[in-house]
Amino acid sequence: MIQTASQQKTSMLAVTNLSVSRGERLLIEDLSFSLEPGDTLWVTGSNGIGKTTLLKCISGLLRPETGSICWHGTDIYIYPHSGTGYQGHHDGHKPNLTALENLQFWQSIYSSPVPAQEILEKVGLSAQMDLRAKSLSAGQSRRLSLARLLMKRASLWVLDEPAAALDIKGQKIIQTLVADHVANGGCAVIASHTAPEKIGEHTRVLTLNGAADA
Amino acid sequence: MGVISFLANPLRFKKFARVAAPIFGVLALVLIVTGIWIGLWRSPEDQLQGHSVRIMYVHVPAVWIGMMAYAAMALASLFAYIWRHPLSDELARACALPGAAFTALGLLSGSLWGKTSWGTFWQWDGRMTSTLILLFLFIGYMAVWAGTPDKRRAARIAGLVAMVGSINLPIIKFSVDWWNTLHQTSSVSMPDAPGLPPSNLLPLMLMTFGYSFFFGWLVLSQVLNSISKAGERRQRPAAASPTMETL
Amino acid sequence: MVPQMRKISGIIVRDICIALRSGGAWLMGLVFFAVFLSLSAIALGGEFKTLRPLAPALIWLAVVFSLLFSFEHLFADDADDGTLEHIKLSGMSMHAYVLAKICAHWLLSILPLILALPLAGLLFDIPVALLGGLFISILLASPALVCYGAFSGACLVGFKGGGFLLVLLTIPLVVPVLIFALGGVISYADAGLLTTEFQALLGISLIASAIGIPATAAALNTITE
Repeated sequence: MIQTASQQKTSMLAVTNLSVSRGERLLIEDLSFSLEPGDTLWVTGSNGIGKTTLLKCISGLLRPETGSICWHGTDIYIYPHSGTGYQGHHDGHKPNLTALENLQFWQSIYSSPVPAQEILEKVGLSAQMDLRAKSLSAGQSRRLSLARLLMKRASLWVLDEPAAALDIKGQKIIQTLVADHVANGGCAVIASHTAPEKIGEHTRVLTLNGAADA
Repeated sequence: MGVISFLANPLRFKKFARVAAPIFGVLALVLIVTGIWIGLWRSPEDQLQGHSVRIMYVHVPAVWIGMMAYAAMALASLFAYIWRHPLSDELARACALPGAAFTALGLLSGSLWGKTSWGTFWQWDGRMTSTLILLFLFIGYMAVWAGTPDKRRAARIAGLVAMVGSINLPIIKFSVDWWNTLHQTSSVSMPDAPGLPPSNLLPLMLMTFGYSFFFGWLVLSQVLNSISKAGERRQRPAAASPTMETL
Repeated sequence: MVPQMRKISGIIVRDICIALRSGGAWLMGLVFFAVFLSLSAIALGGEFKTLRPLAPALIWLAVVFSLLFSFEHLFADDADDGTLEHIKLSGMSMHAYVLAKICAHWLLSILPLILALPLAGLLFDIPVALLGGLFISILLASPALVCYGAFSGACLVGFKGGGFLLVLLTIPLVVPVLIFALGGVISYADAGLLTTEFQALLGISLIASAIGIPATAAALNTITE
């Protein structure tokens, strides 16, 4: 009885029979998986295989042709929700605003009660608070992006190449932040072409394979 | 509604278009040839404008079809936008070039007519001005299609452009007419269809139907062409299934 | 409603802040306006007698073109750096976002032109009544101008050489605005504020906002896909 009850429990994120094509190309066919709090999912595969497209679908930016993506049991393309924090290829900061101003802007957009200074401290940017975003290093800029996800209080982090163009130290800091998030009951989907590492208790790797002629 | 949902299926549309396109083509040829023959040799000349009134048989239907093409384009875009139907996008796109061509023909024949009735090739007459703006709208629509690399995005953006343009078209026409009556004090106006005697009306109607079928033939063949092209491109090997492993 | 207002004002404040720190780039529209008018005056011979009757039309054209070129970057920056994606995922309505961007753009592009009108009037030595008509016509037509400009700008995000196409897409839509605005300027001098032309202008602005804002939002939703 207990078994059935837990099976019926809806997942945080459930992807069912997802097929996605971009232009004329079928990228992903019939993909199903689900994510629970504390999960980490690495998405790997060579360039142009559809990692970014898959991440956009999960976040709610790109409606898939077939299949459904459900957040706590409801389709995200019918009932949009704000529990997902997406971080694409761009950090998305305004170069002429300071780190604090950039984050405060998102505070107003997310109507978040968390003080921006507190979050900047958490990602280790207190010293750079009044620096314009254009003078931040690549690593600091990336951390500011993660600060936006913290500001949003998103429980699912969808990160597209979060470690791209970062040195080893920068990569480690990002990984620690993600690990913290997962340990606090969040979950993360990370696209990467570097070797996946174990983050949290339940880490899986999804490898996308291209078409036979690719 | 029934017809639309019947033709929304690409296969049924293909079947319909394969039969209809040649019929439209033949009808267009017959109607235009008889229209020109009656218009040039078997209809009386106008009391005021003499033989130059015969330009009307080419000019007026061209402007009409140009406007109709824009309306069809906007309508198809609306269907495509609401039901996200790729066939409607193709239909809207196929209307643009013939529509622009008819509008351009209308301007060209209009300026020839202007030379005989006004003494100049161009006048800022109400109909000529709004036809010119219609041509700009067509060019803008086609430029959006041509310049956006992603086809799905191009279709949706161009559709929006067509819809916004079509809502504005009556406002443009009204404002240009208002402006025209304000500035133009006297000019020989071009005759309009309702006031025409039947002997002039017949070739005008023949040409209008002929142009319509010609337009229909162009659109159907263009859509057929792009459907079969898309079909070829679709037949690519599917993606291999993804693998999932636990670390 | 209150949180939406706070988001909208957040975007307006941010846009103004960015503009003020851009090293004067936001004033280029005003410079273009001045250059266009000076060049017209020079090309037309510089005689007040010939310039005066043409002044309303020239000033209006200067306003239209200086505005049109400003729309190319209205959404492009937010689209390129991913801000637009985050806005879409934040649950903020795209209509509210467009409204905020339009308001900010009005403050940054149209307000300076309106404030510069008296100077433009001096360049052509036009009477105060005509200047008043120009002022009112630009004020009444400005919602239509920003809404249609924003729509074209949103359609052409990521478009190479979009500037010219933006002009091509927007010009047919602003033809009625131009016609009624110039008609209004002339009749304002005799008939005062309640002219048919100004009423038509107000109507066009209402229609333009009703069409332009949803259409712009739809275009932005498409480009974030």
